[in-house]
Amino acid sequence: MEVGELVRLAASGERAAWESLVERYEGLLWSVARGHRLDAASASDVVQTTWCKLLEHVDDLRNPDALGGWLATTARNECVRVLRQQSQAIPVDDGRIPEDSVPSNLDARLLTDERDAALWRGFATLSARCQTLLRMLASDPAPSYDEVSAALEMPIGSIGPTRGRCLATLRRAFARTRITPGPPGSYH
Amino acid sequence: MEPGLTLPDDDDALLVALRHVVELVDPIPEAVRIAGRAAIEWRTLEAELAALVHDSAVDADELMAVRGTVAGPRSLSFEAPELTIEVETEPDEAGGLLLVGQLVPPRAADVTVRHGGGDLVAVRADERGRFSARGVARGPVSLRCRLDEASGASRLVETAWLTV
Repeated sequence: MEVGELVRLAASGERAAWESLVERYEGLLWSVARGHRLDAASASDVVQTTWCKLLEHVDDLRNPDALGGWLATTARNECVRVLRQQSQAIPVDDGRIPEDSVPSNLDARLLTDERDAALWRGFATLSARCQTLLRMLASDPAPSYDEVSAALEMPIGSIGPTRGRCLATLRRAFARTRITPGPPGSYH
Repeated sequence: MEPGLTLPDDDDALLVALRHVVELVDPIPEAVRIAGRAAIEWRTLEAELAALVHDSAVDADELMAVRGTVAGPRSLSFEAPELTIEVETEPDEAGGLLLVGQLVPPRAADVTVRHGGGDLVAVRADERGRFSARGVARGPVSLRCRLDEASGASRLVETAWLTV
């Protein structure tokens, strides 16, 4: 069923249609929130706020078929709001998001497969921009470039080249992490 | 490098491998999946929307660049036709949030703080339009205001959802 039709049914209160939309887009929203380096609690809040905001606007979406882009933009804006709120709750020197707000506790010990562990270690060394983009592109189901563009405010034309560069960097980081041990506290 | 510990040459396949790792390390929490499906209960049928027009968390950024930090509660303003809802939020002693609000122009109302997780906190705005709610959990919040009208009827206004 087309997304626009699911939106119309959800707006009329069809629970099954709503659940289909959540099923289709929750991975995208989670990747946007985590890609913006929110901790799990804040990411959960952002995802839920995004669903609430969809219900707030479900009758007046301009283009229901482009729902993914709308959701990605809404989640992104909410991430920015939460990050700014958090950065104001603690004194900071320059107004930037402190690096240690990055979720660093993702449990690499869950990865028993050596290749997976090395891939994750390599991923953790990527720039924030690459991590954010690759997390989105790796979400299930894979988002369209329209949705990625909306979530990251990145021109559609630069997504492909950036994806290529980030994956190339990931390959090099993987190769390095296969040779040298990871930093303290990471999976060995 | 030992055999078997290589990555696929194809970029699409590499992303699939990364997806597999992310799903192991950082899956969508079950609570998030459940809450998202339950959110349809918050679908609004008859209320007017009061849009967010000011949020000190966002609007104070330039100020913060100068001062390094912004002290005091977070202030929010929502607007609907001929009604402004001013809200300040700050942590309360119990680990939740204290919401202090003002309806402009002043009027009495039943105010329900709706939490995206399903909780409700109901309070009353006095005839000066003042209300406060304690123990509001962090997360998605919207205020539903049933305003007393002179005619004895009421008007229902809901603020835009946002994360507090």
